[in-house]
Amino acid sequence: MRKCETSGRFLALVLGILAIAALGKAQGWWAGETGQDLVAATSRAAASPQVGYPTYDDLWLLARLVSGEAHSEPYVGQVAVAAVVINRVQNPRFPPTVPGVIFEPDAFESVSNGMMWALPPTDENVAAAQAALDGWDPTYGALFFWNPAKEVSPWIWTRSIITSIGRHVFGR
Amino acid sequence: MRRSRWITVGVVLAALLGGLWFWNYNLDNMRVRNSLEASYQRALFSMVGHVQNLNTLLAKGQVAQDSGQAVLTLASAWHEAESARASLGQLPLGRFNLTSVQRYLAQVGDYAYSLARKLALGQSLTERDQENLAALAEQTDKLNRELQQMIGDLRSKPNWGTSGVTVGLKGKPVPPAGSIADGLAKLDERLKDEAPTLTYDGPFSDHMENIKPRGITGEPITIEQAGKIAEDFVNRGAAVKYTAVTSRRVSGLLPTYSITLRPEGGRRLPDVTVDVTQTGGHVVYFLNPRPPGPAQIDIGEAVRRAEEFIRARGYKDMITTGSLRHPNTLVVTQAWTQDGVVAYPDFVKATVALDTGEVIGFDARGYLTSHRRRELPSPRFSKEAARRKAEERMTVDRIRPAIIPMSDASERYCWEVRGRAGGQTFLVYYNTENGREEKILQVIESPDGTYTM
Repeated sequence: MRKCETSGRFLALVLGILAIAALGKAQGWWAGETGQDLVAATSRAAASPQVGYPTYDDLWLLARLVSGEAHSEPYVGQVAVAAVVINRVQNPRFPPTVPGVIFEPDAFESVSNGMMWALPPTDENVAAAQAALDGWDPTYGALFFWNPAKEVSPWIWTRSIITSIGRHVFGR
Repeated sequence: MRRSRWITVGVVLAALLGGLWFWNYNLDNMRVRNSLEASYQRALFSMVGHVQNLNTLLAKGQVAQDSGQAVLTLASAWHEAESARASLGQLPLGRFNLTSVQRYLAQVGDYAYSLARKLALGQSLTERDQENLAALAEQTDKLNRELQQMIGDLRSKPNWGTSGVTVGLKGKPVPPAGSIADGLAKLDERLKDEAPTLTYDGPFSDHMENIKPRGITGEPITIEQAGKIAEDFVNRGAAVKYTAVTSRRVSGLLPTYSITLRPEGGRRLPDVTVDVTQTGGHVVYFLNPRPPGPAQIDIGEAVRRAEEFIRARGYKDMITTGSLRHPNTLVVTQAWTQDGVVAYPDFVKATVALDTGEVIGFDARGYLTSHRRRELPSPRFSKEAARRKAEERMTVDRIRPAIIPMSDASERYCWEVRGRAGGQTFLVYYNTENGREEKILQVIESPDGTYTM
């Protein structure tokens, strides 16, 4: 009986800690977002409010996507992934905003499987997103990228291939 | 006895709790699925509604006689097309790459907008414009009917077609017959073939898809020559020497060799990248991915370093047109001047690390895309006339001639008037030929630099 009580208290204690932890996470008390203050420092709408141009406010989302899609890629490969998003924004075949492109259902694996939110973007991810917003496009107009080592739609290989960087192939 | 009773109670309790948890879990799951379904439904029905409105507006646009009425109708058509496009991008169809419907809606809207702008500027529509508008109205009417049919056929919750996908011709994913994805895929196929080709003065015009770079001159070079050019570019006046180690062919819109260079002497510095065009061996990009430390040098010094870097790489007659500060870097933009006329499309950018003042990035894509010597007719609208026009609205600080890029990659030769009104600074551009106000930019001067909106 006594033993039962102790373990009951222990259980309650564990549950309590878990509940507080979950609440803390929901409230963002310990969400170590390194990207956040960088965004605040650079957030501004430098592009005109026209159809199909990314704005600097998109930096945070882009950095998130880079962390989800290309966290173990070389720096140039990270910029390339961000550049594909920007190329899509400027192309009539895709939605005209960065959030529109990133959250188009089933468009990016890391959005579908949640990897985009798994890790806070590193300083390198943020710098890569920034470089792409500043105009660097290592892919010269790519609209698609894929990892040949993973299962991809065979259709993707009918795209004209521009180059490959790290583990990704870039095409248009 | 007592012991086993406790066990029974425990098991029953656990089963109850488990059941409760499972029931709750299922309920949550169902709510999530329903709310997702609701957002797809909203997107589908909104899209169909916007296309219907677009169809009506295009029909009206053809009948409108007064330009005021036509401008309102065409501008509304642009808005409806963009709204339809936004909704379409929210449907669960990403994997089917249905890009032709997107493109069609983007072009219809953009084209309607370009006609509205034409009318607003006091011009009238040509016969060709009217024909294009009629062709688009007809195509949109067809699209509208097909969408209405699709919606009308729905008797229950739609099958989106995201499961049961098969592989078709050329590996294309084929949605199951009768699903929403199937219906839209058929529309997409048809529009791919039937949508009219449109060349006009908007960003989504067909001519924008393959713009030939005009600043690329010279003969094709080999990959070895590209390596030498890259080494020369990076090592000019630098303390650390770099050697080309690998290169990669990039067959994009501007074909280049991408060269990776490594610092000598095994220094703990990252490799840098230089892209060199396959024709003429022009450097398009240089990038050193070293993360700069906290800012040490001031903005004025950083601008001087950028200007020196660009001059040392053979760019002549460049002037600084703006700079933008990020936490530890400064991006400086310079434009070419042709006999004192600022050619904004011919720009290069240099990124300065604010810890050491070293240039860690360079971008000449704008310059290489548009640079050439232009024929500049002598202005029929004089500088004095520009001053008089501007002074009616603001205090004029400076007037200079400039070539500015428009959204369709064409250019205008203008007077650039910099002036102040209501405590804010603006750049207003008057066409040197007829004095037309081509563009207004607001200048934002912040501690982080100067930029325009």
